[in-house]
Amino acid sequence: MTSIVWQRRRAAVGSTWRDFTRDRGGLIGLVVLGAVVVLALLAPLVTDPAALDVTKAAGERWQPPSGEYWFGTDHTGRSVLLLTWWGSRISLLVGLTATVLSVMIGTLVGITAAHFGGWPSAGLMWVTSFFLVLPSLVLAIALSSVLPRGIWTIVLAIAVTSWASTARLVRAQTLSVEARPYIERARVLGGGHAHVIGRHVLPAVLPLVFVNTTLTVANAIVAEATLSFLGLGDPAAVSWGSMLRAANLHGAVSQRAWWFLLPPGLGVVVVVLTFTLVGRALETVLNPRLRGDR
Amino acid sequence: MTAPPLAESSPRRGGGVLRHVAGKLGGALAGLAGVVVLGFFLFRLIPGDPTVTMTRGRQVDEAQIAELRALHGYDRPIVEQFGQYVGGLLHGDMGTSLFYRRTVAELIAERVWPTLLLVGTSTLIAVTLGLWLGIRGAWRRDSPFDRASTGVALVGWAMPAFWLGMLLSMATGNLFPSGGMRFSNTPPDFWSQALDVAHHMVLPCLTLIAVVYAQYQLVMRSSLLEEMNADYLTTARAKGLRDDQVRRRHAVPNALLPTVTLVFLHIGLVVTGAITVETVFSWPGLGLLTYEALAGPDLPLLQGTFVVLAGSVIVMNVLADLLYQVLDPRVRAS
Amino acid sequence: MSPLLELRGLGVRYRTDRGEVTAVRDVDLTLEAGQTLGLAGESGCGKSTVAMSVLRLLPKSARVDGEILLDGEDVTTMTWGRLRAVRWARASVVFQGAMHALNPVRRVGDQIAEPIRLHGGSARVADLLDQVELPAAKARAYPHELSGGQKQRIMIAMALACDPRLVIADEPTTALDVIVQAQVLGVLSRLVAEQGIGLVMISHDLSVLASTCDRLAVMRHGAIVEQGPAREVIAAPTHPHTQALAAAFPVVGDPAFRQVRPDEVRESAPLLRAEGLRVDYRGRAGVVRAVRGVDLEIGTGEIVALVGESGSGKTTTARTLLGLRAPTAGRVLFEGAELPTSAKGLREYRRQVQLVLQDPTSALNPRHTVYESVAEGLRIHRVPGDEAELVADALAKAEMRPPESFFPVLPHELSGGQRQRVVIAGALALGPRLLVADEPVASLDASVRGEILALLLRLRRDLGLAALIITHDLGLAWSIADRVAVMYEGVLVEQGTVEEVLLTPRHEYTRRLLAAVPSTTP
Repeated sequence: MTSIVWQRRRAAVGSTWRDFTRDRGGLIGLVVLGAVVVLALLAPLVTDPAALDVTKAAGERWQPPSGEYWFGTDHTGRSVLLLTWWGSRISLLVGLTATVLSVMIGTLVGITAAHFGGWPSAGLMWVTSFFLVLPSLVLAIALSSVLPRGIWTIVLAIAVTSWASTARLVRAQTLSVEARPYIERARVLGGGHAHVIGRHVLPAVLPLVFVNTTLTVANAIVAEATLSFLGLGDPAAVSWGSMLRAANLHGAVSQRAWWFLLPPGLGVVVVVLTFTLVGRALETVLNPRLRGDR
Repeated sequence: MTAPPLAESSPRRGGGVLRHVAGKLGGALAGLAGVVVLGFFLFRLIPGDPTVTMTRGRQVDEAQIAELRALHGYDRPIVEQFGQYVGGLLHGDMGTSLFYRRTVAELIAERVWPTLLLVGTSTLIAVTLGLWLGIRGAWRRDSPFDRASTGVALVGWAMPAFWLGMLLSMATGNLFPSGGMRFSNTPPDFWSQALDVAHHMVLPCLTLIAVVYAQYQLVMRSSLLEEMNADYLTTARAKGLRDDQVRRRHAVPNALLPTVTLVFLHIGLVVTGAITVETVFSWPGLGLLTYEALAGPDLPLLQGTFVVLAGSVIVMNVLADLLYQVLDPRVRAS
Repeated sequence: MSPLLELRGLGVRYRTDRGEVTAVRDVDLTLEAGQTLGLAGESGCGKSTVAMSVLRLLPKSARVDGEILLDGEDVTTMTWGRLRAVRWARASVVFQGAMHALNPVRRVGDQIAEPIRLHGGSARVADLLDQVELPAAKARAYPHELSGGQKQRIMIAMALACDPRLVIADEPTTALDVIVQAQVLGVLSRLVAEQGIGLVMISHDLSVLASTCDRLAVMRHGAIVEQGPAREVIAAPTHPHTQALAAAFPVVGDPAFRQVRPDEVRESAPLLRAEGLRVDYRGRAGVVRAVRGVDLEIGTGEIVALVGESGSGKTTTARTLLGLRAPTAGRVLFEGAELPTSAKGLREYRRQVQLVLQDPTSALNPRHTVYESVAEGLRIHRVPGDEAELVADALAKAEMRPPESFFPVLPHELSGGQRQRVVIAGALALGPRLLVADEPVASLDASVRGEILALLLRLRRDLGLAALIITHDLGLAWSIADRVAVMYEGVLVEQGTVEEVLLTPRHEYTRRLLAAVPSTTP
């Protein structure tokens, strides 16, 4: 029997993929995103991280793009291309891990708040709406200012301040699934909490969680850049945010060193935009409410 | 089938409103209390010994640390510290800044107006722009206008505010002042001063608008798209209304309602954007104050700005809830 | 003089992802002023598309062929300006489901006045409300403050606002309770007669049309299969589809519609018993007393119908009997033993008593195949034996043959009747002794209702399966129940054998219900 079920699942994934590829923006986003990720993974194999060390900077300071330094050099004479390339690793790493953590918290809280009633659920709801209203980055700034500096502090700060929107979404979806008569049928058949959540709620909620994840990554990457820009990142690690911080502190604007400003910022924009495009395309495919047929 | 049914329903509605408002205010108070507790938790409990955090990376001896501890009361029991902190807040006392050697309340009172001016102006413009673009896009879904405006909005949304600020500042050269709020040599009369401030505000305002208007546009667009297939629009068309009348009188009022709450819910994001934009343009507001406090870190000052920023966002949300209450007849009744 | 409305060779096609779909083909209809025409058919037969095409309200993907003549003027070739002038002033629509057809955030008075202002004329909202028997003060109400019947009256008042000569009523009474339905139909018929309006009435319910229309047209698969004077069509239908439709609305008291043979009714041992059942629940407006003292008994192999309007507490009673909700007072006994309260005990009880829900489409998880849905109960209870065999057996009992061919099918690939059979098979897989069926055929098309009811009777005969059928439909009770209990505002006002209750009702409410049932025998 299971073979038939798996055949069905494969067909479903196939048709989702076909619907997805019909969205040109989403497809372009996916391709570009794939390229960025591959480049980020390749960095240690292709380049030498020693050139990131300030003391070993080889070039002149504030040098505009040239044959030798395609993206020019920064205020210490390091290659901007190399910095941007390595910066992508931190930005992606922090963005993805913070998102995974945040979405896990959000999904857990959302399902728990919706499935089990009573005062614990009401309490969770209150905490969720509290965190939803609270300006998450202000909280993240506060949190990372009192914890020891480092990328894991940033991951933690972003994750514990950004789960609320996932929780709200998951809760709403869980409530709408649990209001369907087939849940009542499952209960009458004798199904308990584990059965209802495992067989009916989770499979219905997960596609939305997946969409939400891609959209949350975009937020997390901007948050990482912002925190690093404010000087809350790991001082030893190069990220797009810390490059922009250096640019601001050392007067890249007054130096008109556009080559130092553009690459890290464009990096953020491109990655955020691709995640957003992929997320929006997935959303139209997986969330039938948004499909306008007529 | 005469008057009684209505007479019976009206008083219930009145009572419901009062209860609803009371509930919202209660929720807001709880939220503010949450912010206060969080402020204590973040800046007194997590750091362990806040004096160590504050003096991180600086040469200090034991005596100086002990003096600092005594000055801020960090040597007393936690419960007593909490009592003092809450008592102080109730009297508007948020401690003394380490760096400025002035009271936090004084500093915040001084810096709050520039932020209000900046955030208020940009939110107003961004909301107007976003809603207008969203409505136009949704009504002609997938038209070139819709595609282009959505694309631009997404790019704007993807940009870190501070980066855009630096780019704008570099691109405009000396056209606009790149920092501060006014020149020192401007004549003191009202119009010269106002003009000077407006001149200084152009770039920070533009930056903030470009980064935040997209969310209003996207929310408005999807909210209107959801209403597009509603049956009451068919009724309106059947009555002989023109397309623009159907949109203005029926579709938009319905779609606007969920958007209103989101506009206020996203105020927190504008505040966040203000922190980095003020940093880039040295705009003397709460955001810049927060940034300056980070350098120490000046924990009492950070605590103060955190409580004020988070608290004001919660207050804004209560206002949004109450506004929604006035706008939506369905909420009024239930 | 040309007729009020004339459709000549009307065809409508929709462009979809999968090519063109024909919704309506070659429809010819004529309506003279002052006449009423009924348009009958099941869901998806194209009757609503016909209604919408008259005012050109179809979505952009629709292509219309043929002529739609309104007072001799072709609607399909009108300019937009002319069309807007014609809409509502010459012909108006009473839409189905008034909840969604009214703008939720505007006062109903403004919505009634809107077309009057648009087409010129003085706003006479109070006058219009008076005509539909609503107090003038209701003009200030919002749609959500009105009951279903009141909203439908508002829709009628709105339709009459510009003194149209033609009114199209699309399922105007669907989702209304019988008594309210009778009132709304009464108002509509009176106004049409008084003002000499031509009325096109669309419904899936032949009995509704029979009581209001002069002429009747029956549609199927986008075409008209039978047309003629209403009495003749209903009394002597010639097309098999019309016959099936007519048979689906049993006439209470007519022995021809009674499917229970007298010899089947027998004295039996009590299976499930409710004693002094009370259920309160806390709503927003305080405590709601949904069930206020109910004594009910279902014998082994007996079919009992629990009849009542929406809000009468019949569904809450059923949920309590199933152990899905704890009673506030009173008790439920299954074979003499009180219902267990522990999770484990209730699980055992679930093998004995099963539920069949109203809408099979939402009662099946859309992601689960037929096999998974039927096997769900078996897996929960870890029933020993070969799972595939048990599933096949249950499907066969629900008359899905050959069962194996349905295993990999998803619910959306099945018809409504087949879906309900899958739900029943899922219940049968556990070998229950009692089925609680909540409006088991209300959302099904007329022609398959009979099949599902026949299945319930056959299960009783073959497996001795008892059933408690919750319904608002007295005709359904008449056709398959042994006993009837009538519920009104949380209380059982009358119960007894079908013949006792439905032929010689003793309680005032039962009489009102019976009087309100639209009848196909005028």
